[in-house]
Amino acid sequence: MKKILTAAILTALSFSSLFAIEISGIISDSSGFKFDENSFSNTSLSQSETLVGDMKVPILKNGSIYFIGEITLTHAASGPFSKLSNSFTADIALAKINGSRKINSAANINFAAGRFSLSDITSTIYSQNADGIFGQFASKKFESSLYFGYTGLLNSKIASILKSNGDLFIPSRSGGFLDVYNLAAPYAVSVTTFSLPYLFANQTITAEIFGAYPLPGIIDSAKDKDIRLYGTLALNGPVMNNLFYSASATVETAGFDDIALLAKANLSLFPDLLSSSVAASVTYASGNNGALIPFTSFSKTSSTLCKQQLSYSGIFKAGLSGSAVPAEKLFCSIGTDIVFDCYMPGAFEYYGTQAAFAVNYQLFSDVSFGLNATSFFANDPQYSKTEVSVTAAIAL
Amino acid sequence: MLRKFRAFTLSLIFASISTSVWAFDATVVAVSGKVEKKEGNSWIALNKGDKITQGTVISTGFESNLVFTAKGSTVTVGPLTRLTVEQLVSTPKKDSSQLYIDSGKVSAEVNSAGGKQTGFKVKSPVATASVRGTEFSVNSAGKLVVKKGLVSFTPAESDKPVIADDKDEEVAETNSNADETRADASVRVPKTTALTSAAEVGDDGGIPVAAGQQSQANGLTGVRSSPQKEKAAASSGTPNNTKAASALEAVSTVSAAAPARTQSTVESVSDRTTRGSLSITIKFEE
Repeated sequence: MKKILTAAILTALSFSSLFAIEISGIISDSSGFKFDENSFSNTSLSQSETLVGDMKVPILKNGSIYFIGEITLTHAASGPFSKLSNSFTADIALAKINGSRKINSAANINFAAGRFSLSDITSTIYSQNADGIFGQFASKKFESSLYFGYTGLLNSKIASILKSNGDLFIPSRSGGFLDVYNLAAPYAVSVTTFSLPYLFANQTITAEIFGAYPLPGIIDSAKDKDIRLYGTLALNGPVMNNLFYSASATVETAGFDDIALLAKANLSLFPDLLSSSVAASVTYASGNNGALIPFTSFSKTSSTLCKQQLSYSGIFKAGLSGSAVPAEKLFCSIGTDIVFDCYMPGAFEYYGTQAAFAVNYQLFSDVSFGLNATSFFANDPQYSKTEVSVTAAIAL
Repeated sequence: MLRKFRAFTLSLIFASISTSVWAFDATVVAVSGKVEKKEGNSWIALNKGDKITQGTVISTGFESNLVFTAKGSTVTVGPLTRLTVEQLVSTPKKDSSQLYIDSGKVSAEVNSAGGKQTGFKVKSPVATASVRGTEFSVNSAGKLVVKKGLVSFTPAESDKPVIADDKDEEVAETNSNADETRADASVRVPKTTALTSAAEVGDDGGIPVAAGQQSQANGLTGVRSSPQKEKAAASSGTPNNTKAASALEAVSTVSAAAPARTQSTVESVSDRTTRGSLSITIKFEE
């Protein structure tokens, strides 16, 4: 009896941290209006309701190692008012064990395992969920991280993956009113990063290799043939006390036959006024330019706000943006980009200009209101688009 | 014979002066509210003009402040702060001050006195700030804000205060001898810029935080964010009360020294437009 009681007490103590479970939920509604070709006669609705459930369980009492999970259920209705289409989506958005540990006073390790979102250093090549493991070592003068993931169990209605030829992967099972979860393209992905922080003149240099390897999936589906590799070299650091820059260059190869290029640069100024910022940025993704082939990212990321939702391939984009907090709890931002099309051989044509504006007011700590507006003025009017939405958020 | 003895005695005296180390006192210049220092097992009030010696533990109450000077530096201790004076040591070449904050916030304007090199270090359970000729504030949670000069922001050296003893005085003496060759240049506190290495203030391997910049140390991992990342976060203005955990828990491969995800305003507004939302967050905590 004593042994049973002792075992029960020890078991309860070892799992005592599990009783500090934190459960939360979010109910959200999104209502937006799109104006294709910037015309009121081409108005369409974009409506969605989402239910999100989160759970966080500490494994160690100090919270340095914990499990966190999240599920989402979404209903979406979109299209012209006379012809709305409905869809339902269910997803396990997050299910990971996360931890961090100090090795000594100057170094630490971080790790994560399960399903979570990860971005590469450019946030353009890869920015999505996957099922995998991640480890990072950081010391005063050197940082390194390694990630392995698998995409074949993701929901393709959430995770959009591009093939090496730039086509969007379409799962063999799709459509249907109650089709809530379609398996995504099966790839093994890896990300290896080395960084030397504050190497010279407080500049940080980072080298990263991203690889995508097509694998057999649970459900037969048309898969890519080529192994894709992306090698990135990035620099970032201060120019002056309030002026910073970041720059990166990525070389892509698929099957080691041809190469494509992605180059990004950003210069950000943070004046000591109204928590403001001003930034200038430029992006180039190669098309059929000389020896280069069109760049193709792994995750589908829209490079412009136009109706076509172009990916980062064969475009040159330059722009200015700014933000400020003009009054307490009021945040404003504005930005504009000019876009050139350089997909075809020898082409460098003006494609359009895009602009965005956002205002967010935090009424209380748990109540905020927002107004967002984006517009694309295409050289060819059929690709123009304007979108306006009003948002409200309440946390209980 | 007498001349030789006199010369020998004088040389001994000069040698002892050049290698001598002594403790100095700080002086209280202003007190507001409830400010006390620990003596034995009891706490006694600090008043203007009182001396603060090495090893003193100071505590300030609610809406209370303390200002004291240590050689040419001025230290302001904020409310609800527990501070230990670990070291107040002088050599002929250098004045060294070292404080430890268990809780609360400390601001300091560090200047050299009498043309000597100045070493000033503020330690906390989370991080250590080393400075020379600067104005800054740091709190026990690892938030560092620099107003003037350059601060080297390094990982925490200890999780509790360590009072300097004779051994540390020998270390201070050794350091002062090693710095002898740079003494003339360092007496005039060098002008620092955003490109100045943390090694210039003595602590190589620390994050350099220049004037107008700030950094935040993570209490669990000890990782200190870069000034670039802090600037971007301060100007983002995005509340995260209604952000889903999947967004907050996203992992990035970028170094702590690199900026967070580089996204133009146009792209970030587009993300908001397509996402929503009227959000209601319900939290159940057991």
